[in-house]
Amino acid sequence: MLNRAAQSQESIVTDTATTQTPFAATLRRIEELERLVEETLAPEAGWKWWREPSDRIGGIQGPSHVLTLGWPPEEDGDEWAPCLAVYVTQGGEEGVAPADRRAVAFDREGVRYVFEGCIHGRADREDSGGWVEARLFRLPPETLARADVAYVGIEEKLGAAGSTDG
Amino acid sequence: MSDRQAFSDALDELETARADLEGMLDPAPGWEWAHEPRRNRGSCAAAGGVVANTLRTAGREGPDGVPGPAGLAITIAQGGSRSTCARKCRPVAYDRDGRRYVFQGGSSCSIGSNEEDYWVSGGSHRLHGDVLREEDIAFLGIEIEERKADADGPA
Repeated sequence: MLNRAAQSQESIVTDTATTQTPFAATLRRIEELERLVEETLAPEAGWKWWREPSDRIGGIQGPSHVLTLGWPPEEDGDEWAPCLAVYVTQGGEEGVAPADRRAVAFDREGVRYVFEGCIHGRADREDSGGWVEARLFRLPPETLARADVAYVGIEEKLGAAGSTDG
Repeated sequence: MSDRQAFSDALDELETARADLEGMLDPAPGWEWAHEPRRNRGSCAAAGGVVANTLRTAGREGPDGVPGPAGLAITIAQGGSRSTCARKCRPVAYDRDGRRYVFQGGSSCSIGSNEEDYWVSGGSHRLHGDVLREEDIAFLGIEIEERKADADGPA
């Protein structure tokens, strides 16, 4: 599907090249390629994207925070390796269950890698029953080296307690 | 061709196309980018000591009294420890054909301390919707004057 769509877009650019500036043609091609990539990066069955995969890895986007952590070496004397990590935070009122969310990375061939759940913490307010929690997910460099991560997104399980679907 | 190879090729092409386009987004002579031009900028962006907040503004009224399309106003705040380091900033928009639109400067203010030589400044810049509609803005960046060679500040 990706090939067919890419070929289709090539012909679109060629057809309109005579009327578009190089800037406009390049921008149009970028947008088409971005759509192709987005369509290819599907969530797993039974999950949906809570945060669409993005190649702008790092920084804060609402209740999530993507960062690179130092990863301790397995052997003494080896260097610490950079490791991608994602914080996901959420909160709610009493009786509202947290959604099941997890971070997912894709390499440059579109292969999926689900982050490992690492640690999490939760605080509850006794007076109002409200709560807030934070979870840290990590992608060990043995699984996928930081430099080979092309996209990172956050999936949410459909139909689970606290899910935002429906 | 496998799906993996097709994805990898698409990603390679995407990165090449992005680099090509970046090469077409040169700042004006005497200016450099404080914020590189980007698509999908948020309402607030900060980099290089320059903070920019973007607001949508009401359109200018035409001769018939009907307001035109909404425009953008960007306030830019800077600060530092040496007033000689202060430089002019201005937002620049690009349309989908790569044409530049420099925002018009409006009100501005600057305050500082003579004793300790620290300063903060803020300025408002506008791009009216009848000049370029918000939906036709492809890229938006912030230019800053190049540092003068005889400036007292760090290079």
